Amino acid sequence: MKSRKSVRAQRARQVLIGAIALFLVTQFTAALSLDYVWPLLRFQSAREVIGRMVERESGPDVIFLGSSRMAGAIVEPQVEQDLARACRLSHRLTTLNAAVPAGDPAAQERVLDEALKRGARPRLVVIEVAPEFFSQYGFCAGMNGVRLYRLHELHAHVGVIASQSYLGRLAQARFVPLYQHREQFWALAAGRLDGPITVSRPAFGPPPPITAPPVPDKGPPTEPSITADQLKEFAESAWMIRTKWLGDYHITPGNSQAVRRMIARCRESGIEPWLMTTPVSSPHRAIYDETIEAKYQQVLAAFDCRHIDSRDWIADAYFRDCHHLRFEGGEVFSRLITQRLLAPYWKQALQVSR
Amino acid sequence: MEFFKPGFLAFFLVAFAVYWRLSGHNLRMGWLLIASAAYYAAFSPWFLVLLFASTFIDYVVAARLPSVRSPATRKWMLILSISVNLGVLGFFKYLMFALHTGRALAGVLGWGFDVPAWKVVLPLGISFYTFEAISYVVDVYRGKVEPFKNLREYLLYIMFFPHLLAGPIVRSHDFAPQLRRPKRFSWLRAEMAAHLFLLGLFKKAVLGDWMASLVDPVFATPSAYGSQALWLAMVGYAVQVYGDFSGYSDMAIALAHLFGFKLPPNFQTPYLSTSMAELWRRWHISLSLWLRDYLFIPLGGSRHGEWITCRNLILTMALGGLWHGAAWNFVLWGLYNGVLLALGRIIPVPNALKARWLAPAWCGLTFLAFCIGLVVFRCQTLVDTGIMLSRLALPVAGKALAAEQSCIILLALAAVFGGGLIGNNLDWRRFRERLPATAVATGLAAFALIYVMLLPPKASGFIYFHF
Repeated sequence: MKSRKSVRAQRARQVLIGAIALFLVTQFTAALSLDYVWPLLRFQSAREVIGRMVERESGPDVIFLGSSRMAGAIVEPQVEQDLARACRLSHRLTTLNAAVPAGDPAAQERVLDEALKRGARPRLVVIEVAPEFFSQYGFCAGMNGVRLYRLHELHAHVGVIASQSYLGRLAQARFVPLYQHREQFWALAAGRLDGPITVSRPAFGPPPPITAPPVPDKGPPTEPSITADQLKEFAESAWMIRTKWLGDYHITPGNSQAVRRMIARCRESGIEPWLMTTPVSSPHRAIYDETIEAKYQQVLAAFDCRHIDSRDWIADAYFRDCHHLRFEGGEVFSRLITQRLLAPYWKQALQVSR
Repeated sequence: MEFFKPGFLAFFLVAFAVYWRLSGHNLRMGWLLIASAAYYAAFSPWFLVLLFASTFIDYVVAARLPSVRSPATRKWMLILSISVNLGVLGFFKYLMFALHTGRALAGVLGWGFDVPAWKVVLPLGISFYTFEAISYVVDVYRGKVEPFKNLREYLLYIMFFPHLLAGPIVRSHDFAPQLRRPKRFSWLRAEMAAHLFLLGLFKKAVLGDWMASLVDPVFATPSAYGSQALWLAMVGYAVQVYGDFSGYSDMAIALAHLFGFKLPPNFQTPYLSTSMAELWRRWHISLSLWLRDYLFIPLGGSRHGEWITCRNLILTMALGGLWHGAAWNFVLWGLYNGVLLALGRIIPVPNALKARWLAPAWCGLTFLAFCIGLVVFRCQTLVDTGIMLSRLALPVAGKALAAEQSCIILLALAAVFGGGLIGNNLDWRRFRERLPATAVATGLAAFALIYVMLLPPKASGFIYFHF
């Protein structure tokens, strides 16, 4: 006959093991729900972008996908106004800058997927590419591990995530997602979440007609000045990027496969895909040596898709650091891309449709 | 690394798993020492070097004391040990305070000198382990305890990681037998530790940290707020400091249990006290006992009449206040509590007022008196203290806290008092044993999930880590 103490000890063991098991099962279920049911709950920047999209009357005609570089490079109203003026449009043409921080092709693919699920049918999608995206370092893998990768995708990325010292955060996101994303869960419960997590196709109407006269072109912004010290800072931070993300450069498949899938998806949906390497400052361009450039061009050629190399389009003075544009730089770039590429493309598309 | 952070959890799981996997008591103690050293070194390896250096002297002195016959030599050895400890504490904690105070005094006398712009980093836990080391050497000197048999035992006494950074301050006569007793894993103890840890987590991370987010803006600029907000902030801070420190203590005690060690309780529902004397027997108990045994009693205690007793009380509490921080507001706080304790001794309370039904009123009064002291403790400057106290006494219009914030503070206060009353009157262990195991397991898991989701976006760190 068991003693009272051993009965109590056995009960205590049942209680503890049961509690731990229940805790972990609940957390694991939450992790799976975030992976497969509400993937946008943990991808805040994508949720915000999609939220902006579904609030509009009409679906976007052009979607720009990319990272923080693209986010600063495209000023939506500038593109829309310049296009309206250049093409003498009778209906508003809308653009969506769907760039997200650390938005490598894997993240871009998720944003595109969520946009298309919600009824977006742009004529054109511009996908940001860069030598950094295709290197073996997978510099966005850590963040993607927390906000993006599903359970069945993790095994391919764990090594890279560990090398970025993101393993702790990944473990947190997988084993205690209710803790990791508690703010989002509470915001969801209170109805205050910034953007949708469920898929409900919005009723995108036809593009509204342009009723007001076109806004007069106020001309490009005045070029700011840049000091030698600022250029030196750019060179130092560019060198850090070189050391950290481009050393011993070789291409790994992950992100190039994501680009390939996006191109195929666009073409299947009747959307024209373009690839674009966004502007960077001259010190940053200097870190792309011959080896890196050759390998990068090789990857781009394999995509069989129009590629716009705009790395040297913008003067250094328009940058706030070695690879992000200031607002004025975004305005200038938006004008240039509209003038050089979007307007001719749209005029031709309009002629064809007539 | 706070106890509820994922980094600490990872460390703890490794330390725990290896500890119980090892066979042999000495191996386990060795592992525990290594884990504790690694834990402390994670904050800064230099802290570890300093701890070794300062406590090694105490170990050597205590080891030699029993064999020294000459009372004068013994006394000098004791003085050396205490001086080293207080010197190290004084340098890191009070040097800049002393220099600034000296400059202010010199300024009054018409002299001037520049205070160097040094940034002296306060080693974590120094106030706690210094006091532990002093208590050990004094107890050996007094013949109350035998010295530790070896350096490993002594280092583990000082560095045992659950209590290293913020107590409880443990006495060697409590800890040494536990160091020598072989350990066996107990599921009962583990379950009790789990309940205690969750309770501590709730107090620290839910009560303490949320209160901090509400009251910090008020204490930052009290002149902008009206009396309503200041009253609520004062009460909110009382909840915060209790939640923060008693929560930490609960978690530390729970973690110690998981390694087979029992640490002394540090808080026993202090806000349910009906007098300041009772409150200080229930608040930060390990420090109160230390101050009693190593300061109050050596000063003469209560053996030399009421006035000397009052003097000793006030002095002890003032120095206790100074222990909390190198600033005059802490000294004032200590003096304030000392004076209240002294008044409580010398002012007789009529028997009619000691009736049981008046206990809630005395409880409320004691809590209010303690809260007023906490205003002195918390305010960043003496000017702010004056502003706050004057606006507490006389109603003044100003910014108010939102209804939601006010409700949260009052609910938190109700939780502290209600929880205390329930804890004092309910045999929690018996209550749990009557429930089915599934219900208890589900409740544990549910509370853990809820607490984890209630953790604030930004933890505010343990208040007592700064001491």
